[in-house]
Amino acid sequence: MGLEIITTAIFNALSASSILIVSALGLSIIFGMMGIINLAHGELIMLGAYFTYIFKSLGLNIWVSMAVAPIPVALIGVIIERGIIRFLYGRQMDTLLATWGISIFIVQGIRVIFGPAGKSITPPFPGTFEFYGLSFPKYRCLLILFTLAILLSMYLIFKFTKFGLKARAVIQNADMASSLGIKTPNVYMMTFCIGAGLAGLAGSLLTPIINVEPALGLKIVIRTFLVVVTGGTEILAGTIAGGTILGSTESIVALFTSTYFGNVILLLLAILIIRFKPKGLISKGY
Amino acid sequence: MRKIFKNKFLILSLGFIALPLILSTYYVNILSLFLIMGILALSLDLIWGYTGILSFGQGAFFGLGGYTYAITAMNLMCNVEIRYLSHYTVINQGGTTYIPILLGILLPVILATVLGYFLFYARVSGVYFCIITLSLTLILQQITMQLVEHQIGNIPLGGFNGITYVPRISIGIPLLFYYSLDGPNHFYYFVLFCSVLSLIICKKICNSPFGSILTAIRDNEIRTESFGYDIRKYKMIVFAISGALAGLSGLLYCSWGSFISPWAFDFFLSAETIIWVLIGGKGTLIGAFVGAFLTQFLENLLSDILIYYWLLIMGVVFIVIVLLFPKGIMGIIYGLKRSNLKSS
Repeated sequence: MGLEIITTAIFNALSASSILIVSALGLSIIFGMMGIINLAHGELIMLGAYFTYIFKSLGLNIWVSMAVAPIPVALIGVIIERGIIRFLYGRQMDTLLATWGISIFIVQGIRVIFGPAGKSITPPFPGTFEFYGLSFPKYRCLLILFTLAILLSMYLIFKFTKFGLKARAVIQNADMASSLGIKTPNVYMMTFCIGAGLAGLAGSLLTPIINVEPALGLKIVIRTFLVVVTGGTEILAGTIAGGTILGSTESIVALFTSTYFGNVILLLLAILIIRFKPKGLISKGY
Repeated sequence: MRKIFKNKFLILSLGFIALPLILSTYYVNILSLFLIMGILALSLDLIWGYTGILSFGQGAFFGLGGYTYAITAMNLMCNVEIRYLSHYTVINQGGTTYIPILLGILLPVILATVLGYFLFYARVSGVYFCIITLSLTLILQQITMQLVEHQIGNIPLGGFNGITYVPRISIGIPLLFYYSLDGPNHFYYFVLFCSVLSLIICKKICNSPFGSILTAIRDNEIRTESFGYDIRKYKMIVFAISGALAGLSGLLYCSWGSFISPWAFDFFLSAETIIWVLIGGKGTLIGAFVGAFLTQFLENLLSDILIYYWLLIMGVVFIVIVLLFPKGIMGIIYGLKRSNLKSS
């Protein structure tokens, strides 16, 4: 009996953490690199989910549509960066407000086009794993693996590619990097593109386990903001730390008490972490 | 300059006092709502425009004020008979609503102080503060939506539907006589009184030495601190005042529609408040009311025709103002006046 509860708790914690990490990664990359909190992040996730739905209804295979969906979202990210955010570099609060305007626009645009009702997609990988009399949904197990794969590939990109090298140079000192011949605007554009693409990917990966609706972004995005803020500016390590701590705490509290108590604990924990580590759990200079 | 302000202010107030004589009941009601939202915008302008802290949590204080008013007023004044689940009938026994009003302001102040203590003393600022206050609002909304059959006193919280049949504000002498502000005009005058009072209080605060410190914090935090001011304390105090104003606005709103629901904590209400202040011009106080009036007036006018597209337009307006007119309407007017003075 005790073992069963512990196993369930661990699985729930892992699952919740992986969902959090996957949906926070794009936001965290944009925040860590450019110092911008992208309030339209949730809406980019929502767009990823809707593009998956669109491709699916066009007759594509579910896996293919989930893989293709991030591409248009990344393009939209580039449009947003070139069209609006480019003019606001150095004005952190104004960027925040502008991305909020974008988020309102996207939500309402989707509501006008697709209607307020939710769409659902049949899970591509139904069924459960049986494990000592406990059952775990297969797709959630797969999601944990996906998260690990995404984290690994992001690590490889930032560590071993030319773009990664430039990006790290820009993070360390943007002025110095640009005077050494790195085109910082291009790096920023690329970063925003990757961030938006990752948001889209999060949306497409979450499609099978959530209801695809215009308000979807808001539901996911609160937690991701808290993850990024508690995680700190160190992109990968911060996201993993923040995501794991907040995700596991919330899911375990929710398992033993109730969902809304889990929400309360999540917020309190985030405030406490920020109270004692104002720059986040893992960030440079500390 | 101050004399001019006072005169204009007087004329404007007299105009608002006279308005119910011309307008129909419907418009008087709408006007009360505009004023209530103006107070909410004012609370944001005080903390954002004057102290430079953008708070997304005004919705939290707004909602908390409303819920507190609803719960205490109904517990004190009403006989509630629960039929099934969260459906109930209410018999209003009457009485004054001083205690609910007081608590509706006090609880948001306590929340703001505690939050301010935790955040400002940790030197949380900028986007971090935004995110925390935003999450507070949204999590409060999720919690209130999930509390359906839970009761405080004998009032079920109602979840998504919220609390209905909340009694109107009533004034008088406790235990002797009371007068419920049921008529739209009476309620309108009460709201007008509250908004003029809060505007004057804010103006006084901003013109006092305390206000200069707030402006100094906005313009240069580090320099203010090295002058020996404890900026954390000042930030906490102004956050508490702003919380009180938002709470007042919330309880007035609750009394206006005689209901309160998780909508009060809505993401879009916080967004709209920021839009009002931005449009009106932040850091001008009166701009908060101008922005709230103009936007809501247009919304009332256009949302029948545009229904879905209204929000789309708001999103675009938001972006355009941030990009091109960061000073807002009152900022532009003041700017014009200044350039006129210079040229003449």
